Amino acid sequence: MKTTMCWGALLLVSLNLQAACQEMVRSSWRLLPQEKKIEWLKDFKSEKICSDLPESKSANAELKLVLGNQIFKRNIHIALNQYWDSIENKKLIGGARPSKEIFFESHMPDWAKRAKMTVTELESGKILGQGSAK
Amino acid sequence: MKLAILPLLFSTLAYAVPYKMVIITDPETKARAEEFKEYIKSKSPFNKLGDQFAVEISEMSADEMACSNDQPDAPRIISCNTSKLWNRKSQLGGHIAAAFTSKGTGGAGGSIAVASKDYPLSTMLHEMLHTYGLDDEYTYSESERKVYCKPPKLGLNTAIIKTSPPYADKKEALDKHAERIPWSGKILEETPITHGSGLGTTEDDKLKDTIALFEGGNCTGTADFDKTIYRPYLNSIMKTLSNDTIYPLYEERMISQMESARGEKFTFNTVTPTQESATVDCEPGKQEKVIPQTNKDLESSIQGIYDFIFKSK
Repeated sequence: MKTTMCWGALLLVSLNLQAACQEMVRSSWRLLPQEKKIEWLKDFKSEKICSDLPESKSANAELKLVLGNQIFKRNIHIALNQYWDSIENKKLIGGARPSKEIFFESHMPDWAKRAKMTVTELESGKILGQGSAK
Repeated sequence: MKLAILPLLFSTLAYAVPYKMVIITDPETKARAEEFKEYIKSKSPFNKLGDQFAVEISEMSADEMACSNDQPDAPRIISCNTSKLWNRKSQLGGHIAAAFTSKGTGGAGGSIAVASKDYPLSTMLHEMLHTYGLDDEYTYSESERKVYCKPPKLGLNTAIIKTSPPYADKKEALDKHAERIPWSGKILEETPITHGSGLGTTEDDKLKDTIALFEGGNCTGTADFDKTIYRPYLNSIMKTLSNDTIYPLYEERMISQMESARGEKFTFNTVTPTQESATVDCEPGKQEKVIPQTNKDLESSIQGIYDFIFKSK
């Protein structure tokens, strides 16, 4: 009797944990802001993620993936600027300009691999680019 | 038979993927890349991550990396074939990449940090902090400002404020501008952010490690710009390469960015209240145990069930 109860408890724990986890894929993309275009580059092996995806405090862009009536949104940080630095007389000199191509990655649910992606700059609300994986 | 359930049980646990840094180098700068690997592993927050952080050095020919100072109108800019570097990072499953080159001179930040071998190691750290979202805190030259500060953009470590003096005290200054200062919540009560009736902390070496509101940063001095730029630290690595301390505010941003890239929060060795099992009051006079949240805690819980089933005969 005790053993049966234990097996039951074990199965419940297992099912509960399983339900909390989600298969996610990390995908890599290239954003060309001048053309407002996003190109899919690579999907990494799916990972089981058992908690909410952490959001970056440095987030400056929103990813939105739409497939049918399914929507996935996430705020991430992307390299909007390209910086350069040099040293003259022991002092840093340099500058920053808008990046012509931005490489970025994010985790997303497996279904979103085939979704249409839109990247929007958070500060301005401006659409930076759109594209899809396939 | 009993053992058959174990794969099912343990398949439910997500095994932590380390946050991986890939250092790409041409053959001539390999020794520099090795030095940087040791350097970065010793720096906080990386030195707190244990096996949740991994570094891999990968060699690529200088021709493939294609780094050079190739822009005649801006001879200091060093640029490389970012697509090639990003592909290598992806092949190796990296979350961030940095590249050392023997071709060209200088440093660059963005999707991938780049530094030449003739620059100090702290240059690469500075460039990587750009990848984590931090802006320069030193003042750009007038010619750069004319081109790239139209208008200056708000950063994590730069506040752009249209000041309206006089300020009676710190409270008035914060009431007026706190929402324009991304680090306002981190300024301690005793830290001044006004001087006389003006806004800004007076530069003083005693405040070198203190989060405050120092005037000056990247686009300071931009013509026809009626706002003032402020930074949180007196002399951080984003202002000078001579201080390579990663201050707590920046460390927090880096950790958050790394966790976002990894898809999972880190577990730190130091015990924090959120990692401890604790009790909370659910109803007056009744307490309930909070279930531990980390994977390690879950593993312990499951180990307990396993022991109960297999060992409690």
